[in-house]
Amino acid sequence: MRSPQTPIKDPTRTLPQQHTAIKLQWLGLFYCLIATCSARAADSVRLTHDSLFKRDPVFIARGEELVYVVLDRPEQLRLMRLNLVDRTVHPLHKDEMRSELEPAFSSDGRYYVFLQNRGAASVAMVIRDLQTNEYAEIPPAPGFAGMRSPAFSPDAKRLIYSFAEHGRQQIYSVNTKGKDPKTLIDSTGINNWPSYSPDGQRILFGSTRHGNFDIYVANRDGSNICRVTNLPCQDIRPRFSPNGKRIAFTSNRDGNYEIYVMNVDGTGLFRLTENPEKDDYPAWHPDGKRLVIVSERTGRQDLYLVQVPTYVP
Amino acid sequence: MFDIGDFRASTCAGLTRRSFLKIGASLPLAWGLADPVRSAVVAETPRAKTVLLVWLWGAPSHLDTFDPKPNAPAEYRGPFSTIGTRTPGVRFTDLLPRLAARSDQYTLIRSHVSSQPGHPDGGTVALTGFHEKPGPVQPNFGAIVAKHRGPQANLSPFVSVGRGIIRDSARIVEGYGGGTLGKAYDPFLVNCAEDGAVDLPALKLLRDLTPDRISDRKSLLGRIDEVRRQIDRAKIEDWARQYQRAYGMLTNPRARDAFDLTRESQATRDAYGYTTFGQSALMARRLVEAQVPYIQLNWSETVESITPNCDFGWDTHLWNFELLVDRHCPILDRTLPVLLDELRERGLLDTTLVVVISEFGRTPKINIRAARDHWPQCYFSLWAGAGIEPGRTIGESDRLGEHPMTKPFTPLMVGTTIAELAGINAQARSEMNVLEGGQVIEELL
Repeated sequence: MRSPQTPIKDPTRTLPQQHTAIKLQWLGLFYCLIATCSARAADSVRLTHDSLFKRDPVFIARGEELVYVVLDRPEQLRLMRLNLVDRTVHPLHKDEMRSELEPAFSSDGRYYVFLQNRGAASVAMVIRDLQTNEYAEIPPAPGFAGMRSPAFSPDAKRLIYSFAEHGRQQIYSVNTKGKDPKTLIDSTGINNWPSYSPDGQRILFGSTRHGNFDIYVANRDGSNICRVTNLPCQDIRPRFSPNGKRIAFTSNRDGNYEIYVMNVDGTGLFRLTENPEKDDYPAWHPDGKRLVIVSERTGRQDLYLVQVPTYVP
Repeated sequence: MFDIGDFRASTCAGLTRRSFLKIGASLPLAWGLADPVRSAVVAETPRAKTVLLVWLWGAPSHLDTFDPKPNAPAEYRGPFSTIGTRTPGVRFTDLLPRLAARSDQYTLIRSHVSSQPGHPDGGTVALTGFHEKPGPVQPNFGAIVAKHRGPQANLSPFVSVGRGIIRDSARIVEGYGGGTLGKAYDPFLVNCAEDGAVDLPALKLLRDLTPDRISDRKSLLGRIDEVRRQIDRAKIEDWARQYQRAYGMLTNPRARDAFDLTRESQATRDAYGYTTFGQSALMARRLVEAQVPYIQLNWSETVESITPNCDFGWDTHLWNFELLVDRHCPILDRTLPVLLDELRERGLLDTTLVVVISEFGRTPKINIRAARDHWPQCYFSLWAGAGIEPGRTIGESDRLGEHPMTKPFTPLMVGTTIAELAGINAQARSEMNVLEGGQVIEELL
């Protein structure tokens, strides 16, 4: 789909078709303006105040807590746990000195997974079973290598993640012991940020298979790949809403990194944030009405909770 | 207690300015270390009174930034789209919209070549013009300018802003300092954290002194003796020189001011961004205003922290395309335009040469990890100020970005051009026995 802010004529269409398309695009633009105005009017709540570089926020504990990554010192990315009730913040792994990033939690709260630095550009994926307190891991491959963007299936039986080899970055899944690897998405380019739909039937991911980063949806086994966005820009970090009907993602389509929300089929697109600085890392609150994002404002990066309008054109 | 080795310049933490200043006031001016030495008189006014070298350590991908190849095969071009610039016919990737909108403020060179594919060796070649081996290591361009200008009244003639001496996981870049000119021409190191806290490593050995103790000469000398016993005798002279320079600056109000970012408005500090590179760039601008002859502004060494205790910089062997989107390009595209804007608006760009460069580029062909490795055969630089006509592109790489199609420009030519613009002509270079065989990039001038 195309952004309504940047309608592009298709020269292969006949003139009446183009006029109809343009009318529809303007109609879409009108609706999007309404939705965007709603979004801009929505409140955002600043959740952190340390101004440090942050990434990868994710809600846990029914939305009462957040886990995110902060550049705690120049040499270390640290997993932090923020209690949204009393606003206290603690390291998730108190004594850890290695960089850790990209945490994800299973929906039943039993498992979580994260990436852990093991050397020069060498990154392992660690899976922790909170019920047995056992750890499983996929160690780094030789040389510069590392997994990316792990996420659990809704039934908490498998994880999905991306890994680069042979000049391209594919999407794999393993069980919670880090075993039984399966290739789900294999194409040229870079495939990243995979996640399952809440019903576990589809996979959402970003890919450069057609050039720049765009957003794609596939069946859970990697078949039936559908392109959801198609603009010459970077559409990254897509995330299913809790009801599986919408996708939040980051895009620089308007010249700056902002958060956008659309329906799963690419319709109903609107820009959620309008900030001259960078907005990124959207993560849905379990209520489906809010997103936590990392927003850079006056040069400082903090977590903000942003309302998502329920209206969908 | 406060540490004499560093001070915080941030007000967002609720701290007032600053023990650093208090210490400066409490230091005995009659200590004998603070007497400024008069500047040497430079025969002719150089086009560049100050050189600011923005060192993109780690080597950014030229294809993913300033020299995209949108028509190259997929295994070369990468995922980024291209956008127009203010320079007709010139496009950058869409990761650099603000720099694209300011391409009329600088000139881009796309046909650099180097001869060393490793970081420390390549860094030395890029910063000195010569290989480390067989040695001796030649002086950093900054050391050459520093020697030519002579001692400065207020500040060291060669200041390096960043996190210590640049290094990778194995070792330092040998060409960081004085080389054959001697350690007296090593850079004065200034570390600047993401919140603007400033750290002067030359003073680290005295960091447990309190203001009370430092104003007690007997206690201070006792501590210095203690330190002397702790360190290798061979290093004493170098250390003594470093702390003398540091304390000389501490006792000089103008020098103190240069290091004090709280003198900037909040809006200015915000504009640069609260990253190590952002606040360091603001520090660099203040040093330009203070007329430091040569400033090397180093890229923040740990923007991603996936390599422990190491200077990773732009060395994106892994996750190149994500890291450039997530961190590197947003930081560069925020800070560098502000720096250029401020230098121009303050009337400093006419007499300041800004050079943005790295040790090499990155492989045009995407590697097995879907990223890019080292590529000294072709890379870019940006040049602004000092009378260089902006808005041009000099040199051209081939269709894959693998090699220059036009005249290649070497690090020795870069150094020679910097020296020429800084007023060190061929005769002076010869007399100093530096940059032997170097040619000026005439196309720039």
